[in-house]
Amino acid sequence: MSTAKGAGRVSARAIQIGLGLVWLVDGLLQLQPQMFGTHFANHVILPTAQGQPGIVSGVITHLAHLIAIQPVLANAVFAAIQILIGIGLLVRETVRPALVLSFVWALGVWSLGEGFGMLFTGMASPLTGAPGAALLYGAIGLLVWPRAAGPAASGPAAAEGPLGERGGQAIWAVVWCGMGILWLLPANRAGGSISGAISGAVSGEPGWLAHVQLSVAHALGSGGESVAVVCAVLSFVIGLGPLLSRHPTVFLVAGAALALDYWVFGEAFGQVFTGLATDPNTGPLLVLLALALYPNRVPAAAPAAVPSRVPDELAARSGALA
Amino acid sequence: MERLRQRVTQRWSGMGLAARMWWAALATVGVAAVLVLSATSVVDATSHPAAPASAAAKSAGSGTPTAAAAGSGSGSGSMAGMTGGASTSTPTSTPTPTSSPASAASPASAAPASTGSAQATPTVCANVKGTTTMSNGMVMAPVPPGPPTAAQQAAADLLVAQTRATLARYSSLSAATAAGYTPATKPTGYVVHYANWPVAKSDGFDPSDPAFLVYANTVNGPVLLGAMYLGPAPCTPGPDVGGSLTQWHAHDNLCLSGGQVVGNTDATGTCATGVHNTNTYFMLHVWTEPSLATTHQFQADLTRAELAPIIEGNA
Repeated sequence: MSTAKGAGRVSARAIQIGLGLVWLVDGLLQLQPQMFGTHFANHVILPTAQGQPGIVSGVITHLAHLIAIQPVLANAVFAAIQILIGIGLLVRETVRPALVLSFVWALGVWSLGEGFGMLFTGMASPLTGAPGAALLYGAIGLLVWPRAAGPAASGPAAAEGPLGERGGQAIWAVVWCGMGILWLLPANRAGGSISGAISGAVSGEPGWLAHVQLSVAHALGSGGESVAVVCAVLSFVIGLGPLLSRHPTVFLVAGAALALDYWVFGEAFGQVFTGLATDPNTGPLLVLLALALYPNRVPAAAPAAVPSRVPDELAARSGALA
Repeated sequence: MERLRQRVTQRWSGMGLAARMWWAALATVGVAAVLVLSATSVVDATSHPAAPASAAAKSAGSGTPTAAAAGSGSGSGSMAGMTGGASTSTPTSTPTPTSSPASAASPASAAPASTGSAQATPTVCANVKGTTTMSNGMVMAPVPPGPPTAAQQAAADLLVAQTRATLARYSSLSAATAAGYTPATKPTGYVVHYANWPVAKSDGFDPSDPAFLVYANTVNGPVLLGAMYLGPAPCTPGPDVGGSLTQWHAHDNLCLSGGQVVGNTDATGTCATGVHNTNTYFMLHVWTEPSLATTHQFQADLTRAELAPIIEGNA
């Protein structure tokens, strides 16, 4: 991770670069051969229409239909836009327009490509990527929007952005508490729902990953409710921790760890091995969000540098004593 | 305007090479996006001219049903048991023999299935122009107007023959399950659809490899009724094989859970269990069971009453 000032500091610029790299990955995934056929429309876009309200379903279905008419051209445009966003974030001069473009694109992807993170279906699960990766692209981009003031010397990367540290922590809380609420949905508390979600993500994965996922699914068995409640409580604690505690790091690390668990077992690394992934899903973005809030505390100054007055004081005291 | 131009010029000249290239690429992609969107919209509009009236619409409008059976509302166990086949349900109207003059001449000549009365607004697959949504939740794909031509009749006959040949090896349910077919509707219903999911997920329409087999649970055990083919993608009808004989249909009132149809939407359009299948596939049944094949060859919907002789072992 690059730094602004001081070794090891996670700066806003570092987060911008990280976000740019994720966008680049998205663009490259969009260049996979299967994306240039009707599979993209039929098996990536259309399934998100499932269970949506009529108007949302209709718009998604129509979009998929339009894409299927010219899948090669449409997909080339989609890939180019995402690669442009990625490159734009890597070039310092174009960070602002690239972020603006990313906000617009992420909103479109979240609504039509991810079906609003399936929030309206009652079936959204944080384990499989709810509330939607695209939402996190926008949130992280907003947190590290470059301000004229320039990089800060200390504090989290989010402190350099327009929302500040507290704003960043509020977004973190909304995201994680939102996931906590999703865990409590009846569909996620039903017996076997978690193991079902994990085993359902096995299709098309390489053998080793499928084996890991199925092992976890088998271990969870039908214990849906207890696992969901534990995950919900963890989500609430992780979400509210940085706001309420003086030691946010522990909550950020816990959040990143839990996000990586979701990423491996429920999201199957964003299904990048299936040839049909369009992004790495929420796991890496939640880690990036945690990094944006990482405190970057300035280490305590060395004792020798502080007491320039000490000899004087000692001298004065000596004089007084004399 | 001049001021804006000056500002843009000033900014452009102050930019580095990378930023200039980025903006140029953005402009290029933007223009390309507009062109692609315009082109696809034009193609979409021109590929769906005034929708041909489907046989279903015509039958509903004229009051002369062309379907072999009429009316089976939600939860009636219709659609050959897509809802699991509640045995207590009853059809909402009396089956009516087909009026197609060709029906007696060929096994593949039964009139297209269109049950229930037409309603105005489809709730699924709005992308398919010319559909007719029936009161029982079936969305009938458009078919060419008029009676089937000789070529369409021959193609329909060929489809039946090919399907019949394929299904010969699945006369027993155990053979089907051994081949990978698993229940897609409630296995205890009077009619059960068994899916071969790898086939169902493929885009092809292959009579030698049907995506679904349909069995009836009868007093004598499972009896193979026929096959069901799926369109290549959600909300996309399959190939036009036999014109108005082979009308594809979808359902706008199914509730799915765990990969199975578990019920129908209620009057408000919501599912008590599962999620509303708004992303449905179009499908086409080919009934090969001898007593069905003569009168209901491609019918979308079979009522409990129509299946009673088979279920009760009297066919």
